[in-house]
Amino acid sequence: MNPSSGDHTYQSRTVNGSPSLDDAGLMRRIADGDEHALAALYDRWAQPVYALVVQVLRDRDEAEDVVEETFWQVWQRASSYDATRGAIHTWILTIARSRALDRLRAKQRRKGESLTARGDAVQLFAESDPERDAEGGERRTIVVNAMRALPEEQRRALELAYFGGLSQSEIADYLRQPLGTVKTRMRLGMQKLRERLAILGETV
Amino acid sequence: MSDERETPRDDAIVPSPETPDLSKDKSNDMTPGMPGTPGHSSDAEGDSFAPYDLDGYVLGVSSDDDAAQVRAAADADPRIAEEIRVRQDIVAQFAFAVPPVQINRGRSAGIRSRLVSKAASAREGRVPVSRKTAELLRPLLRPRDTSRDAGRDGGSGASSGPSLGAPLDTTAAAQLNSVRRRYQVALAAFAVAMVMVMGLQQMRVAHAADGVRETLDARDQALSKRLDSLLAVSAHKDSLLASFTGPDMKVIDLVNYSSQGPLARMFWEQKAAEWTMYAYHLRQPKPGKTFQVWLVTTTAPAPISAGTFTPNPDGSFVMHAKYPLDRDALVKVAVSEEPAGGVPAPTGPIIIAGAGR
Repeated sequence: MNPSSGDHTYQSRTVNGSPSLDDAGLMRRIADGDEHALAALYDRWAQPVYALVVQVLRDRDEAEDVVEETFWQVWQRASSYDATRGAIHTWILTIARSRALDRLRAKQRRKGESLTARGDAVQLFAESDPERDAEGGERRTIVVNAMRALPEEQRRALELAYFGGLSQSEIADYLRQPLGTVKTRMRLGMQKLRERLAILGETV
Repeated sequence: MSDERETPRDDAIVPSPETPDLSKDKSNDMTPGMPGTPGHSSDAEGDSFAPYDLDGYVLGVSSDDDAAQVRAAADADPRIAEEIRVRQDIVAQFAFAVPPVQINRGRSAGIRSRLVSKAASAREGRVPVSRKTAELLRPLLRPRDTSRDAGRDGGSGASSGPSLGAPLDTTAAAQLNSVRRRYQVALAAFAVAMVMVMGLQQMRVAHAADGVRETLDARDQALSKRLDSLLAVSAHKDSLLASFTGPDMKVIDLVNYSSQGPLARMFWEQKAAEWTMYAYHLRQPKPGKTFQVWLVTTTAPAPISAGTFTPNPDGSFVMHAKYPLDRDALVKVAVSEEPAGGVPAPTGPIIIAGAGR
């Protein structure tokens, strides 16, 4: 997947005078120690990484720190990156989410936030806003629509897990449902998303 | 089952190196894992994954026990490893559901710059330097004479010289190292000198501060004394005012009817036996003379001296005296000019006088 070929307006920049490279090409350059390739990958993916981290942390200053940590980790681990493990942007976003959740959990521990407060803070799809949902391009519209089409209990379980970092046990406590029910809701939700996001495999 | 969870692992999604590399399947450029792609699993295949909590695992929210179970299964069965990758791609799409939030351009540029700087430093195995420092050093790291270098290189003359982060040839690298060493020594010497100058400056500042502190302390003490004095004066005036307006106050005017010059007013606070006289327009006593105040009473055979004084240059004077006297005993108050030091009985001319009844 290349963000510049989709609905995101990321720039594909020339790296050291060579034609623009795809993510895999940039990763190879980064693994060889080319910092300009890192800059190019940053230009391409910093924005979605930032948006994701802001959503998790709800703190722009901290989000910027996480963005920097994420791409620094990309640099440090580029040589061990295994392309068979999935798309590069998937890897980058996974790193960013992990760092963001680490910070979120540390902050929640410091503040002694209750499970209720933590769960209530995650309300990404609580209200439908067609105008707002249309922002960010076609890919976002597809994903948001797929999420909104899920039964609320399935969507809520996935939302709490992905954006809130709540464990399945915590989600069960928060929703006052058995752990098995939460797992089932996640599984069913993921199955539906798999079908509804199929279009991304054809358009991206 | 443990309630503990782990942070989503970003490097252990597919633990088996034998897992087929779907991204290398050039026959289909669709997203791996999406339906219709090689990564897609049918419902029938999905059933075989049911014993494992793959979704909790890829979301990073499963318990440690469940996660370990999934990892072991993925190690044993490439299909499970593949399925994990497929679901990981689905989960990755969640990131695109967030509302677009623009990162501040200036700060983003700062992050980018720091990353490039750190990466360049890490590549060269040296301590990262700040951008400002790098900019300061940049002119010093350029070759001394590019035209001479060009001739030695075979006359190409097109070299723009090495710069930070650009590849260097051996000669340029040697020059760069030499310049860098010299500059480091100069920088260290400069730093030592700066530390010494700053230390001396700090001593001077500390010394000056001590002087200022002493001056302020002295001024503070002087002001405290002055304040005490003013408070005492104020208290005395308050006391006078209270007595002047009290019921036991007797006021006696002393005048000189022969001229319009001197006059005085005597306040006798009978209860406290205190006498206060305010005099104005008095001339100065003649050389060797002084003014003396006299109380003429019914109880004493001769006038009683209440003290001597010399007026201020403007002719005013305030005299205080304490002398007990019966309420009705005072007949007259007078001021006469007498020999310096005073006399037991009046001998000189009366300057001013007033009746006591």
